[in-house]
Amino acid sequence: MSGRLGGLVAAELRKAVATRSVRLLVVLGAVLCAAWATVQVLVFDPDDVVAAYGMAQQGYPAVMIAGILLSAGEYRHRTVTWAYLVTPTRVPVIGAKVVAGAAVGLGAGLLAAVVTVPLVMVLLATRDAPLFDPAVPLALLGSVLGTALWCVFGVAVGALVRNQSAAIAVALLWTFYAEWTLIMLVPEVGRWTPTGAAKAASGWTRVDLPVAGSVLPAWAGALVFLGYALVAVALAGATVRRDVT
Amino acid sequence: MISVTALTTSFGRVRAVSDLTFDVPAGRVTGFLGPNGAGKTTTLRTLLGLVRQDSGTALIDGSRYVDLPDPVRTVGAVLESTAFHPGHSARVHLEALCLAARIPTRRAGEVLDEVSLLDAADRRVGGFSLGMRQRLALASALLGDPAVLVLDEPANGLDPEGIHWLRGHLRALAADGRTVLVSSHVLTELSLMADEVVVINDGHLLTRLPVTPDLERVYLDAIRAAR
Repeated sequence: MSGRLGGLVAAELRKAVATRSVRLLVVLGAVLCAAWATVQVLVFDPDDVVAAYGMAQQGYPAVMIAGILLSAGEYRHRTVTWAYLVTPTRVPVIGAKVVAGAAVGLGAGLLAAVVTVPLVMVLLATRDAPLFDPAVPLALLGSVLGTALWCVFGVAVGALVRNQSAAIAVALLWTFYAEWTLIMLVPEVGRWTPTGAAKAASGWTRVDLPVAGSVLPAWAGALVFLGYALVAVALAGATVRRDVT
Repeated sequence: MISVTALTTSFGRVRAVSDLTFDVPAGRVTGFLGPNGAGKTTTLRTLLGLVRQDSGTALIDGSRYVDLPDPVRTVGAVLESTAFHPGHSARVHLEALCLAARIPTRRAGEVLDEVSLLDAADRRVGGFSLGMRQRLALASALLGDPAVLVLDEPANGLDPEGIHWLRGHLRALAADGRTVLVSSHVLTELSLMADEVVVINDGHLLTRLPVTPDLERVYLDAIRAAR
């Protein structure tokens, strides 16, 4: 990393850590993971050990919003002017935000894993289910890295849309309703959506309701989701020259 | 030294700045005066690379802003006094700028002291008065100790004491040999602060006037003659 980009990343992290809503969303993400893990084991399927641990990625809506705040928040508060005065070429600012977003997302993913793993162990023990499966470490890795990518995805969406409220609304409605509807009802299509791919990366293997279908293999899901994140980042970088008035 | 030459900037079909030419010399405070909507902010944003012009040039020491190797150490800018994250402290705002511009973060404390805001350094900017925000904006512009200062309505929201303070500050900066360009739509503010004013109206250069006791009359005559 060049010194210049290093300084920009440090600046973005300084701002991210100082933003209360970002900190709250990271914590909320871990809470969501704990709630979903509980539901998965106690309500859905106590035998799917991998899916239970993979709930460590279920905080993704909160983490994605945190990512959106990191970029669109600068337009909302008009602070992007300062960033572009320091770095008038602008693209390095997006690059630094992506790196900072990945770091925030990685932190969120690790926090979620630290909360989810012991909770799932206790829950599985109460159900007399096996506590471990050889696929669990990879599912956890997929969950943590997937969470980091969700934050990056949010950074890119926020930089593209710029209007913070609109970016949050569009991202939530799309991932929750459009993508989950596809995953549930048209899994052949749904598994290729960002949510479908990210879920696959976290070790989620089946679609139970209401149409039978399968998701991508974990590695393929990870690659597809990485692809989405990179395309979103590229679009954000390509549109960064728009006027700031 | 700032040179604006034949600058034209439009937003869609609205022409905000039209064939505008003027220079801002070093060593004095130059006012940039015109009614609301005259194109002052657009001119300054184009100069700072935030908005793209249709044609013409706006150069700082002969370079476009985007081509400056170290913009923060060359130009200090105040564009909007409200442009702060309300949840960040003044110190966080300034330290993030320092990190991005690779300036030692201790400069944050120094400029806060310079604008008499050190006591409020760790308070959230959301609770700042407009005058405090103006001081913080000026502190941000001073971080890189630049030779050129571009200030858009910096006196907006300042009380009489604040305006007095700003005037003293800008005069000292200009006396140091710096180039200082200050916009305002309030003539009396500029008549107190500037050595001369560049007057624009409707995106066009109207005239250039020295600050004299009869500035108001001369200005009004010029504006009326343009209608």
